[in-house]
Amino acid sequence: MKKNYFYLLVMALFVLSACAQKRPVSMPQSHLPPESVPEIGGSVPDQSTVPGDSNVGGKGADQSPLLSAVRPVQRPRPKVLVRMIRNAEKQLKNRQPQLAFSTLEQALYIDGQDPLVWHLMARAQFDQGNVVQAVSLAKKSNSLAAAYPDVREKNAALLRKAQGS
Amino acid sequence: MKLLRRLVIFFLLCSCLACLGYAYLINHQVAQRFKDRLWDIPAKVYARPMTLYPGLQLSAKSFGQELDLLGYRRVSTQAQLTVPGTYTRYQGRFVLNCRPFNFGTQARPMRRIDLTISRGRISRLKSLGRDADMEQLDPVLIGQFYPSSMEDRVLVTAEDIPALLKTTIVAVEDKSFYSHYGIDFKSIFRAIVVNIREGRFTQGASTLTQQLAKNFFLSSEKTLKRKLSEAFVAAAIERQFTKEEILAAYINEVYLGQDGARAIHGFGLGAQFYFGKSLELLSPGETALLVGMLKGPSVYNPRLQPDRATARRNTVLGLMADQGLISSPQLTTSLGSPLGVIPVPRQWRFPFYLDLVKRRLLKEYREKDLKTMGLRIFTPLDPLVQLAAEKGVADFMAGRNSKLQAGVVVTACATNEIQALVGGKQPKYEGFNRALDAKRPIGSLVKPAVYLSALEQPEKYTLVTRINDGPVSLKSGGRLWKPMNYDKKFHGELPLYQALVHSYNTSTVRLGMDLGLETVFATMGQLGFEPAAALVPAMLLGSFEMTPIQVAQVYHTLASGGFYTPARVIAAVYTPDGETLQHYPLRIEQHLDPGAVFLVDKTLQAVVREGTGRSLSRWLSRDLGIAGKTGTTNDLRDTWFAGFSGNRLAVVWVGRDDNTSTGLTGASGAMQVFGRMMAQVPNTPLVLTPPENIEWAVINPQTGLRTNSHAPGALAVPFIRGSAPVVSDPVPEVSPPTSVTPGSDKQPVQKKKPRYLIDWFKDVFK
Repeated sequence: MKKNYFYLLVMALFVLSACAQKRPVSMPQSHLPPESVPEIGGSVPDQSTVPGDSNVGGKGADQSPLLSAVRPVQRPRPKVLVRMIRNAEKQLKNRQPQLAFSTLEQALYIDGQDPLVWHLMARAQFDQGNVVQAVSLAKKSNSLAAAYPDVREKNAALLRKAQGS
Repeated sequence: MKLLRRLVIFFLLCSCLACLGYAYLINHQVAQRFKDRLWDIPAKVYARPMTLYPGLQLSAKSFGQELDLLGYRRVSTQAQLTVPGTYTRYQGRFVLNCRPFNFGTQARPMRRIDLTISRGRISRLKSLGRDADMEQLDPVLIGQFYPSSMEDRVLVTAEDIPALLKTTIVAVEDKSFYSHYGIDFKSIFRAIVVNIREGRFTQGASTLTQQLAKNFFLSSEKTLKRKLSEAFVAAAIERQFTKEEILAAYINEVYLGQDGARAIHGFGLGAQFYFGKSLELLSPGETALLVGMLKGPSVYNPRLQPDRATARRNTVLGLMADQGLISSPQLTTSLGSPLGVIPVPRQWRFPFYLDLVKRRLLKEYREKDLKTMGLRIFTPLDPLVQLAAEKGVADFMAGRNSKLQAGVVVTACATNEIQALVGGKQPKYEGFNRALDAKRPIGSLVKPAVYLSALEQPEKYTLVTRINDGPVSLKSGGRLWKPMNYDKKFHGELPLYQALVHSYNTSTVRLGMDLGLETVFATMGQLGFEPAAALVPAMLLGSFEMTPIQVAQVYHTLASGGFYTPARVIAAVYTPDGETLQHYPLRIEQHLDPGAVFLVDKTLQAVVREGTGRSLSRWLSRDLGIAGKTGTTNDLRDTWFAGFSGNRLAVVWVGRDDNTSTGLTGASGAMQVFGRMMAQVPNTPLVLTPPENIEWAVINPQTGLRTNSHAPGALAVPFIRGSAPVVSDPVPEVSPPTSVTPGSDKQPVQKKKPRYLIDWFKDVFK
């Protein structure tokens, strides 16, 4: 008899569950696309470099390619690009902004979407007194820098300087 | 008698005075002539130099093609890599003896490059025996602007001329060069004697200086007057210049053969044309052959008359040995060696691209200067992309209507440099350049501008705003205009992005009219093109004309996130001495909100993934995420496709010059060329980076309202921040949105634990 009560209770709970109110479930809102949901246009795996490629340097090298399929992540930076960026930074330090700009134009052939390259181009223009170009280039850098808070900060500082000049 | 003597003296005095006067005049003319530039040097136009680095996406086939374009010769073993411009290949490994090249800003020496290509990428790169991060090849010469004489030459300075060449020329052509004053009377006397004895003209007596004088100032007619003038000019040259200067001028001036209409002048070009090397690398045998050819470049043409040329070379070699210019072992080796002449270097011709280069240059230079100053013009043309574009057009045209024509423009997404241009289906024909001049209605290619105008008003329009694709009729120009969809159906209410994905006409016209024509075409202006015609509603469906290159400019602004960059076809112009005349740096201007452009670009990706461009997957992997738009005009007259990957943008037009129907649509016409072309060149995936003002929400596309991730058909949709719908879908499993702090977006979304027993039950029995 006790056993029957138990089954009855389970059945009652089961029936009642169907009548339950919908519980509020928080839905994250973000400027990043949600994972596991199809996007408009579909997501694209980043194939700019071979996974595990030893020629890739920089912070993004250990990022999972799967993650980059749905979220903006730092792009893998080939060693040659790392070297070109270093050269350009050196040239900027040595007050050779024109030369640095040429170096960075070359760097765009390797990766045209690296926000640091665009930021340094903005600096090169700023150092030459071309404030309007510097602002445009810094904004371009910002538009590519969703996964680069450090570059965004640098751009913000440059834009502040440009406004003050 | 006295009178006669006086008359004779007077006559002699007059003659002397006349001679002196003439000599003075000639002297002045020579001084003037040599003060100016001595030769007209054609401008040389170069492609981009190929940059090599480990990790670069490059197939062994493409690299082989690049070396072929550069005229590098393949040899069997590394031991044969003795001259620049040669390479060996063992499957994916290439070892090349790279040519030296002066880029203007920097000079690259001759060096050995060793690279390995595996799985479509450079896996190892060595330069001069050490691992290298980057290397740059010399650029492909893609064309020249010739002077009217069609003379071509590579100038060499006196210091760069090998001593053996100088001494050989003197030994063969003018033994007393260093002792006479322009005219060698002993040789003239000897020649007269020989010619009288032989009874015909067999020996000349012109000195090097006289030959130079004849080439610079006089015609080639054989008259006494011309001979006398030649003597005067030669004497004037000798008076004003050193022997070394005269010899250098001679070496640069002489005619050494013909390459079609192009005349090969000077030993600098001669060495390249016949042996594929620079002057300083010529062997004694090669030097002997070139010097021997002076007697008759056609008669002793080593490619057409190898036996005669060999005999002539051997004669000169014998003379060189007699004069002690080469040793006996050198003579023996040289006599036994083959001529070593290379096949005629292939002259690459890209007339449509060159046409564009010339048009741009003529805005800043006079045509005469372009053809004579020896300018070195560096362009961003990528010959591999250019050949792929030409092949894409040719493959598509094969077996189709012979009246179909095409125009193609390919640019780099980052810099908007024009990498390739095809102005017609016959790429080597210098004719009507359709890529630049074919003004045709653009059809649906205008639609992104309409939707961008809407999405720039996030308070009114988002990608999921419901718009009406019902019948529409408008009064335009006194007539009733009733646009129809291509499928002759109406699709009722639908999300805004779907209307663009499927290129629906009636919804676009409704949307455009709601926005206002001025607003839409102001956006078009920001993208890079403002139609000159008065605005009418039909223009919302692209009933205004643009050229392919103008369309490329507009779509580049979309591809670069709303930043306008003027298209560039020239990187820099240098003088022959390496001085920079003009440099054209990258310039950008922000014209549009990157957030709104991001939304349009996402939708253009959907066009290719699921809309009118979906058959592109036949040619290109869906993983590339190509964004693009098809365009077709009334009666299928014009077919367009504009699209971009992560690194390259291309616009293709296919139509007929007589403006009649092609029987093709954007997808079955221009897009097929796009696919064929882009499949042959390296493309990086288009990974669109959401700008800062973009937020995402999960949306039910049927209702345009929020839903949760598990709802059927749920779609992640980007919105301009603050414009995402706040109302949730009233279907089961939906919950109202709650915002999260900005930092939370970095946390992985975890599945929520059930908080109630009933939820647990629901999960169990789900």
